[in-house]
Amino acid sequence: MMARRFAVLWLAALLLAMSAPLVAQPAVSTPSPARGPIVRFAGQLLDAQAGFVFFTTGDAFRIASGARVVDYKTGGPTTLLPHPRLYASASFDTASGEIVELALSRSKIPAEVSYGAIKKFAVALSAPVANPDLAPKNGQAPVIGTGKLVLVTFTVRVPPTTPLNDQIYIATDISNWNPVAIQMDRKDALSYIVTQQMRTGTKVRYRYTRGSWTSAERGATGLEVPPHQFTVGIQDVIRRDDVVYQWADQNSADPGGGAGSIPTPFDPNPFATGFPTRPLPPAAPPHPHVTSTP
Amino acid sequence: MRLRPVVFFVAAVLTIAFSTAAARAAESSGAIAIHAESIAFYSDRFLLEADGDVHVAMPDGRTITGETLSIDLRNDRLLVAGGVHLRTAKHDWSGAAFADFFAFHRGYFLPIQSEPDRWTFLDGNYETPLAGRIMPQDVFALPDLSGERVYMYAKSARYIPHHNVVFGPGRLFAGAAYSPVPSYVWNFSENSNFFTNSLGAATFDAPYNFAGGAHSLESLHFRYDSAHHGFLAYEQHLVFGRNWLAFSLNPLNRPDKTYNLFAFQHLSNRLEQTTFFQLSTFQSGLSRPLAATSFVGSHTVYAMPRSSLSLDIHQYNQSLLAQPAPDANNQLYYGDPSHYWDPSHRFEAQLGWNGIEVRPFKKVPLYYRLLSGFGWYHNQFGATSFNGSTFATFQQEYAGFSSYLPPIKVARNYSLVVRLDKRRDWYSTPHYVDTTTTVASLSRSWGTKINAAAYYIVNNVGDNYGSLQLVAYPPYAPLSTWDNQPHPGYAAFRGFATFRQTREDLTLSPNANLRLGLIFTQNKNFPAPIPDTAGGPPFSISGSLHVRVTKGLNLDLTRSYFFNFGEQRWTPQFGIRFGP
Repeated sequence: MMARRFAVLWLAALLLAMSAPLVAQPAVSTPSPARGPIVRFAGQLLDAQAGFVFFTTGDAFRIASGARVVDYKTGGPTTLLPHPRLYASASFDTASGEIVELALSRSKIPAEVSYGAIKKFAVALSAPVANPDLAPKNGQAPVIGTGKLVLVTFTVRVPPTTPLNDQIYIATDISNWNPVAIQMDRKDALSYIVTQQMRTGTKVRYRYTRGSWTSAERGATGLEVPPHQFTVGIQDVIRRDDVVYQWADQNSADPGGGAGSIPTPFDPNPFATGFPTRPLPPAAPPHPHVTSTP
Repeated sequence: MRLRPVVFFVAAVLTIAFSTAAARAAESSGAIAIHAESIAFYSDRFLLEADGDVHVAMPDGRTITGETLSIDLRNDRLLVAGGVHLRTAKHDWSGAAFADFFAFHRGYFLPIQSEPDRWTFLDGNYETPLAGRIMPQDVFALPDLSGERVYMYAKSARYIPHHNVVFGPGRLFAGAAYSPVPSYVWNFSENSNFFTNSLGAATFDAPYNFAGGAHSLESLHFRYDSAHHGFLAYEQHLVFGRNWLAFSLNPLNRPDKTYNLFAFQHLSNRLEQTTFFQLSTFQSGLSRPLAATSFVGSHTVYAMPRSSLSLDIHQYNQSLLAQPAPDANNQLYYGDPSHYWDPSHRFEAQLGWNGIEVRPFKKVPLYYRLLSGFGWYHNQFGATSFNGSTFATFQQEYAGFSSYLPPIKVARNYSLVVRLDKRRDWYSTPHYVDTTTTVASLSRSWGTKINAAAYYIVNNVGDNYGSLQLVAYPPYAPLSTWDNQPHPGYAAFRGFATFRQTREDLTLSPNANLRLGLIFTQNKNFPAPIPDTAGGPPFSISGSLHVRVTKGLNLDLTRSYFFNFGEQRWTPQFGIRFGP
């Protein structure tokens, strides 16, 4: 008699759970009795509706009738509702594969059992179908943004005309092309080096500069070159070895790079800068109306 | 003649205006429109997060609604979660989450029908899902934002993948607090040409991007310098692939204005041109200027298989306005003597041939480059003068080479680099100048944290006038303002100088957030330096400290000591620079 009543109640609760979204009120309801050992899995919620809880793994899990929603820290009632971004510790009844308790938290919850232990309880209408996108290509596993930090070492050889006092920088699209984003260390008279941590899956575009876009790198013939680029793969260390052939501000027609160093039509006097003015014979102005300028 | 720069300038501004309008019209179709109760933008992470009644309108007509949105701007991923509705032309599906990977043309959906399922949409076809297809593990991952600072709050945003996000009215983080703004454009284009700078220097500069699209960006700059104190500037960028144009007006609200226009054209795989136009005026608002000068510069490069040609043209117009009437002292100026009349309009042109780097011997790591060229210089009012004559025009030819040995390991951790440059310039005035630069350096690294280098640099410059050498460089003992005494040692200088420098560098980089530098320099020059008059100090030592103060703020401190040269010891103050 009791068993029949229990079965009716169970069926009614299940239908209710299937038809209505999970709300916080179950916190005060009585948890359904577990029929097997309980395992707890902690993860981030994606959604909870129609009797299912979705974690950010993309898997859906059935929630038991009368499942409790509690506060993770106190274990007592909570005002939180299952919502995307919240963290949850889900107690699974291993006999039914259903969630019998959901403990919610706004902050990250330490890992409990591995995902593999509860993966088998995931609900999906269709059987899994292989995805060609995820198959290795040319013997390489596809790059997935796992977020793992990888050490990337950049080494660059600069042109011999690079001024000794100048710093070398890397500008990247990650740093919104700030021309002084990453300062490099001098390795020798012509080489600079720097190591950065970057996350796997990140596409990186970068250019070398001497601190501004007017002093950015140029190709061997003085033409602008497209940015260097690569994708951070699943490796422990990545090395990038580059060569800068010319700088944009070192006009190829003026390799000395500035007034006073090399005479050009723009600077016919090699000692114009940093030397006292010599007493030259006065020149007759060709235009009688020109007033001397300060 | 003098109106030409102004006509060019007006044409350029009109071109910008029309191009901006055309660019905005073209790009409006590619934007993703987002509305939510709260949109938060995390600039350090390139993440756009929204919560509460999220509504996303895609460019192809789809709409996605849900409780939460997360867009990773760097990785072209969009995720909507919580009570999701995906509406296409033919369907209205409900589910738990929808993710769109723009770069891979893949859509991933968790529908809820009789039971939850996994659907994948391929190549923009959102009407026919592939059920059950295994998805990448991180498709529905939401970012951990603990400890991250929100840069901008808004309720609406327009997102153009790979380019920018245009926020509606909201609050922008302005250094210490959030400031209400009517709109804001966050440009994260992978095209670096959006980030070229056309403004002059300022002590402080804070840009506010108020409008923009896939090809344009308009900014108001809040700036400070000691001359103008607080002032405003305007900047406009137009970018079409490798071609770009940048225009600026600085300062916007002060009379001494500078209008700058930079343009870069990638004409072919061999030909590129950069143009720079600058108009400097003294005017209140946009009224008729009291004084105006202009400069036009053009740099063209033509690449050949093993060399390139470069053409540089400069045109200066010192006074664009009509000649003013002379004052009582026969002085010619506009308004006041600080705006003097100068009718000169200097013109410079130089055609250069530049060889690429060549390694002539396979077994010897020697590299060299050859260069040569021709220059022409003209100023109707006198380009240069010598020996009592003024020349309105002169020419120049030059030839030279640059050679070096790349780093050679001379011991376990030592590397040697040697460089020799030589060049001769012939002038029609007449004289020729020989320049020879020799550099030898020895470097050593201790791991990746300590680096030391020693340099020996010799620079010889000789200005040869032949029999007129004494006319060009007569015996002369300059009077120093430091001791008010003549320095007769300088009288031996006849136009042939030798600059020798010994330099030692030491750099310590214990970690990515800290760098210490020390540079000792000894100069031994002929002619010898004279304090406050000629040359630099014979001895100097400079220290530098680079510290990353916060995630987005670096501090650079520098100071030098000059060993009592002209009674100069320490530099008057520390060099302090804060930067991103």
